[in-house]
Amino acid sequence: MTTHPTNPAPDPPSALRLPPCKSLPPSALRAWCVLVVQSFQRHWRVRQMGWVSAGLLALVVVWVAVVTARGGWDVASQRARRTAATKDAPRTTNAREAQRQSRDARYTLLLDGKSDELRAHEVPNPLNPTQDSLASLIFEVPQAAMRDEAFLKSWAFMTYSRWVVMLVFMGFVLPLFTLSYASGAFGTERESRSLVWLMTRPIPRSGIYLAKFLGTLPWCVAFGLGGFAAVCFAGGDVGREALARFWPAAVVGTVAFASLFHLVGAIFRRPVVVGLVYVFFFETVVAALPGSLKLLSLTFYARSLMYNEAVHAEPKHPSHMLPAMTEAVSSETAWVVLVAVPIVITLLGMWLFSRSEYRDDV
Amino acid sequence: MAQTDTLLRYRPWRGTARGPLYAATALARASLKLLFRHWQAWSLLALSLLVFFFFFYAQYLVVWITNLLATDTVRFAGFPVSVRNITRFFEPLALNGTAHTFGNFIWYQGYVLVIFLAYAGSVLVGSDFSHGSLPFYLSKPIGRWHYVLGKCLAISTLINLLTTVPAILLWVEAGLLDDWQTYYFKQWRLLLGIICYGLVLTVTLTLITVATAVWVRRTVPMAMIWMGLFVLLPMLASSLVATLDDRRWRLIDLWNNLYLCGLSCLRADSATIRPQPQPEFWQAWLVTGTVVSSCVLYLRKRVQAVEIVA
Amino acid sequence: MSDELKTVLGRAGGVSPLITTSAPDKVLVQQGSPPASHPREPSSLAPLLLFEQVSKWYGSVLALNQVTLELTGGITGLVGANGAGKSTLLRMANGQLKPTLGQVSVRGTDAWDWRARRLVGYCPDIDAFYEDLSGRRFVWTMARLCGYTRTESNWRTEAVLERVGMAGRADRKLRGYSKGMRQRIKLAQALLHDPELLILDEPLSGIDPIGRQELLELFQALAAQGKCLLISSHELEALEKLTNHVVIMARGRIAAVGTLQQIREMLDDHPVSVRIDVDRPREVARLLLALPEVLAVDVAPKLADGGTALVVKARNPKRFFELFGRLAVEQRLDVRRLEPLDESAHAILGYLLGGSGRT
Repeated sequence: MTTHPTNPAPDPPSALRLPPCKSLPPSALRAWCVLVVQSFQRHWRVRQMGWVSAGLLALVVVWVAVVTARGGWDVASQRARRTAATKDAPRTTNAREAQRQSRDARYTLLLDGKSDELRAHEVPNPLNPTQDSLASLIFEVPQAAMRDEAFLKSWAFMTYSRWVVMLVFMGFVLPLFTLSYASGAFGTERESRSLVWLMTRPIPRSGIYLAKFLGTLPWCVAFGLGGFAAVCFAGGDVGREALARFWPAAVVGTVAFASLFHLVGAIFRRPVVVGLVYVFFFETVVAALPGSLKLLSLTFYARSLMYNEAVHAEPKHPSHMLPAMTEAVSSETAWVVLVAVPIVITLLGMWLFSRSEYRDDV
Repeated sequence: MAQTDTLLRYRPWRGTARGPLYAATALARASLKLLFRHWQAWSLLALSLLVFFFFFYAQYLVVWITNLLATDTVRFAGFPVSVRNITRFFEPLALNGTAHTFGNFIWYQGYVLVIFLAYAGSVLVGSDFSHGSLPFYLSKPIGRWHYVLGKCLAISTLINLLTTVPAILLWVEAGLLDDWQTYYFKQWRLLLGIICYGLVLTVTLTLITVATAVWVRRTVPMAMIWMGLFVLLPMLASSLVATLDDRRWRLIDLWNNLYLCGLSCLRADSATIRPQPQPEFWQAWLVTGTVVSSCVLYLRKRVQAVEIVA
Repeated sequence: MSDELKTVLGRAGGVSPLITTSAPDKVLVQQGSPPASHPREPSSLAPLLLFEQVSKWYGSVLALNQVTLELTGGITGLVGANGAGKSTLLRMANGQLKPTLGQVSVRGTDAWDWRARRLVGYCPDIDAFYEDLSGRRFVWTMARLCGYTRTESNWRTEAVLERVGMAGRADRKLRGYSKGMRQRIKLAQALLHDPELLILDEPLSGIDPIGRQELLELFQALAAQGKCLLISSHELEALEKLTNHVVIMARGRIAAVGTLQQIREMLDDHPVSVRIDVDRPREVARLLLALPEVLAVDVAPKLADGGTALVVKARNPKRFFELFGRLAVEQRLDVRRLEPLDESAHAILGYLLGGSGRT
């Protein structure tokens, strides 16, 4: 039952006559700026998504921290791939394996009568000095590598880049977070059918699209770059080097993905499904295919940027340590594409949005 | 006015109600219809069919090549190449009608299935909460468990549609490509194994879907959680196994656990499972069982929470 | 309420039988002439809201069929059954939907254009908000999104909340509001920018009688202030207290426009065909022909369903139904079905004779 407020309403006509603007007339620009702030705040209100993102990020950070603490990026302390050890025995590290294969160690074993601990090609052959010295030379290579500071550094950095940055961050964290936030800008409004409140305001439709995008972008960048920073700090020295080298690529990749998913959110009624298919089929499959098809994948350009940064910037790391990226485009091309894509997509979205009607409740 | 009495033709329904279990099947039917009204569901189904047809024709191709050219070599770019080397390309998929054929097929279907379930969960369960259609269902003479059962039925139909049914078709195809009598009689255990694998998948994934959908309700967080479970955890698992040298880390990868359970149903040798090393079968069963029971406990808690706040 | 404010001119398009048979412009134009020769001219002379031959398809469904309508002031009621196209019409008026054919303009500006929305306040029929905000905060945000400064938004928010009687109780979260409170908040946000044209989609649904009376008074006060209100409702009864001027919609068409008296008069002049299913058709036909209003009776009409029935052509529907009702009671007729045969007449009669529009 509705009741009158405690103070009786004043004489209707006089109270109603809103004076025509006490201060300034309404301005579309001001409304637009308010909309940017409002759409930023809307994401804050959807706490659940923030918690889930933070949880996923925490999982990744813990993983990186654990692997880092166990020296997982360092080739010397990584587990050797082929050893004489049986399946059940713990595998030894590369450093120890190299040590074991040294000439002295092998002869010691031979003379102690424990040659059965050696594999067939490792057994020294004093009767054939040529072959023996040749074998020793070959077995010297890993030992030399284990002693080479620069090699070890490069290896650690490239391993970290490959697993953490390229695979988990570029392949999972960045696309998923930008998808969640950018497609949610319109997605949650449409899901809760509250878009009508924005559409009835005196703001141009293309402006609404742009404002929503700009309000969402800080979240995407915060979770994209912030997540990247967190993951990198958990990775110790290697991680910090990766952060210093790769952050521009992470930022520009975030913006490109955000613009794309914002458009997806404006077009499709269930943008997340479309986005997931795009990220986990198109991006993963296409980016792995040979040929020119991968030029359609956004992550390819971001990865190229990272690859060039790792291989061509001082100190240079050997390119063969990052497999499957040999066809990278030049940094200039990648920059042009990654800057142009958000602009083009946003303009396209503004144009589409200003022409389409939304009737989700019908 | 007495005459107007005859105009009133209302009478009670004279049939007998068939009980709430039938209501659950009706609910499942309605849910599936609702789901397949969206074009996204059809496109995901098409994607899964793509995987199926790849396996279907590749299996045929392998048999055809080996039968036709068993002893031959073919000239490939000027070099004589043994036919065995051509079919070797398909060897990782094990397209020879053994346990791994079906295991691999379901493994690859998992990629589509995961997205499909994230979508189905939010459409079927999440939107009932967020749009307040739950009171509509619960105002019918069915209990809350019947509602959950109906939704579970819909989702499990979907899971089987994507995994078990096509896997059985592949089994039938494998038999027809071979001598059908010997294959069907010798390999009937494989059929049983496929059905068991499907059962494990159905129970586990259905419960996880419904539980997460009841928990988060919205599409976006639901998708994030699913991708975390089925994309991030496998990535982390493989990396942890490699660096920490403990194969039990692979147990955090739920899809891999289900794969192991399935292969143990199919009676595959644990040494042939890729990627190696893998944990023991019983460990995978244990983790899966824990996940299932915790989902049931969670649903029980939620279902007993009486109030529905729209 | 001055007369010129109530001037509402409407021309129903399409082939509504009521209107084609009786020169529409003469009957329906209460005052004034057809729209000026330059309807798009963005001046105050341009009509406040103008629908020109507007049609709208949703896929293959025709939601609006050649609607032509012009509003210049006062309160206009829009009545029709569910699915008659009321909401579609209102959404087009505030630029939420684009017409498939034809044109909608507000003071000469295309309604799709954002500038038109400065002149229009819209109270939607959907019941969705930012549920986590308080009512006051929601209205304030809407004011900010209209482009007002903080201080301006503050006092505008207070003013409109006061107007809709929510000033003292707008601090709770919206999700805890009753239906009536939500309706008031929706109304409040429509009033924020003091628009010339207020489009209210079912503003009275879910509001209790006391609240309804308050809102009706508010609408009247707004109209007295020179605003133009377009209010939709299922019930003519609710609008009848408020305005005399209604638009009746049926199946995407405008069935009739004008004051209630005009429509009633028009109906009186317009013969109506009624199908009556009874047991003894010939006997009943004889009785019917004795009624003064009945022009003709067809005892063996060709009907779509092949049943046996009478089709009666009557001069004055209202009078005819009164007489027929009395006859049915006196003669103990077993009437199985009674149905006007043309749709527009069906709808209009439904509203004028009471009921929900479904005779």
